[in-house]
Amino acid sequence: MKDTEILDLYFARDEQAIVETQTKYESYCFSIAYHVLHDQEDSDECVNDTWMRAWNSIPPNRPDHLNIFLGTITRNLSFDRWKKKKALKRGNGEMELELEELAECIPAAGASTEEAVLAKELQQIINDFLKTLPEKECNVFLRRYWYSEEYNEIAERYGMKLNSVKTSLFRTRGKLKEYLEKQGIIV
Amino acid sequence: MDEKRNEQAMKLYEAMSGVDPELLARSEKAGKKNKVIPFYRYARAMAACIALIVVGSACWAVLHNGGLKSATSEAPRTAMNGIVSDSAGNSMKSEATRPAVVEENAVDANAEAPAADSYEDREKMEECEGEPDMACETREYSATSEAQSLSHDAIDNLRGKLNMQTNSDGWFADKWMEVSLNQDEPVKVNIETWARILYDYLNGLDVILVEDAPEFTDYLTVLVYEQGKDEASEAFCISGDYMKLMGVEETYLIQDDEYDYYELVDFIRQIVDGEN
Repeated sequence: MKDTEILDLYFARDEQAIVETQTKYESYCFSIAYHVLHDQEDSDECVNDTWMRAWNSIPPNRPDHLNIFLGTITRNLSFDRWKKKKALKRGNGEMELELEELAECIPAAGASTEEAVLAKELQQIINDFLKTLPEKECNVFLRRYWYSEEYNEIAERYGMKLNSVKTSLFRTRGKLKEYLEKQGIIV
Repeated sequence: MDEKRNEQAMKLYEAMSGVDPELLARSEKAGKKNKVIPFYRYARAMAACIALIVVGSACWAVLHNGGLKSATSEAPRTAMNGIVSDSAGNSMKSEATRPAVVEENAVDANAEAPAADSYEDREKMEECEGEPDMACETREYSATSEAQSLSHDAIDNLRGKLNMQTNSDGWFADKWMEVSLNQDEPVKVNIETWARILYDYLNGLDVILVEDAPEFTDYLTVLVYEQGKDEASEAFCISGDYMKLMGVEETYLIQDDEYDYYELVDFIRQIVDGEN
């Protein structure tokens, strides 16, 4: 079923929308959740919660890209669950590694006493930054830090060598840090 | 990682949720291009291809039997500098174990070589886009004649900047030079590779892992620099097996498609001419 048809079901408050969404996007959302949580049961729960959240937010939302919309919900839910597990000292180190990499992008602390930028502003800044990147570099960055894919998965997806992926990510993180510093951003 | 830094990293991660969906969709679409599309789904295209194969085979058979095929045997591929390579790369490996060979058209290291015909070389480079096979890499090295034209003074200038020893013989006799760091055993470094080392060093990378020329596939050269310092703090040779790389936290392999060769040569020229 096409996304437009699925969205029509949501707008008609027909619960078939959830069935169709699940049929079409279960593996997609599960993949995103699993990349964050590395746990089948937790990932399943996040995916199920995703359908509920989607049902509650469509309408009024009518996303242009239903898969990305659902994936975003799953990603957020997964990360929240990961944070809880981390607080309880459970879970694996993959996410930790990803966060360590992202920590490289944090601009150096300046003498400014300004407050940290708001979340919405940071989102916009990151979007602006991503649009400055060449397509390939942007894609690799997103696969790693949005989809939480591992290096070898990214390499396979784009037909790149493993070390090319690492090099690309290293450089992009450096560019992001520089970009944030130039903007005077405090995270 | 300390708690504050961890929180900041998480903020960045959460901010990524607001990424423009168009960018995400693009990343998904780009990945799909590389996937193999099952051929059987395209019946008409498959039928057309089969027809072409049949017709093509028939034409070949007619031409072959008709004796119209060229009488010349297929010559081994050679580069401008006379190195012979085959598709299996065996001759390349044998080059690595022999002492430096003076090829038929060896460049005189002391003379300023004429600039390479960059258009021809560029065409050769462009032919080799994508994953290079051994033949393509041979043709690429023929394009290093431009780098070979650096004079001894220019090389000394480079050496002075990086405080590295080089051997006194055959600087560019065989388009490579020996680099010896901190009295360590000399390492063979191809000119093109050397240019990349320099380029990255000047761009401030801390660690450079460089894959040597195919002629020297036995070695990977690792040069470790601290930012702002001219002298490499560490250098060692490791085997082509990456598992033997120890003691370096992060390594970045410089791939052929990372740099434009001509951009690098121009960059090096600027340095040796004192413009940079």
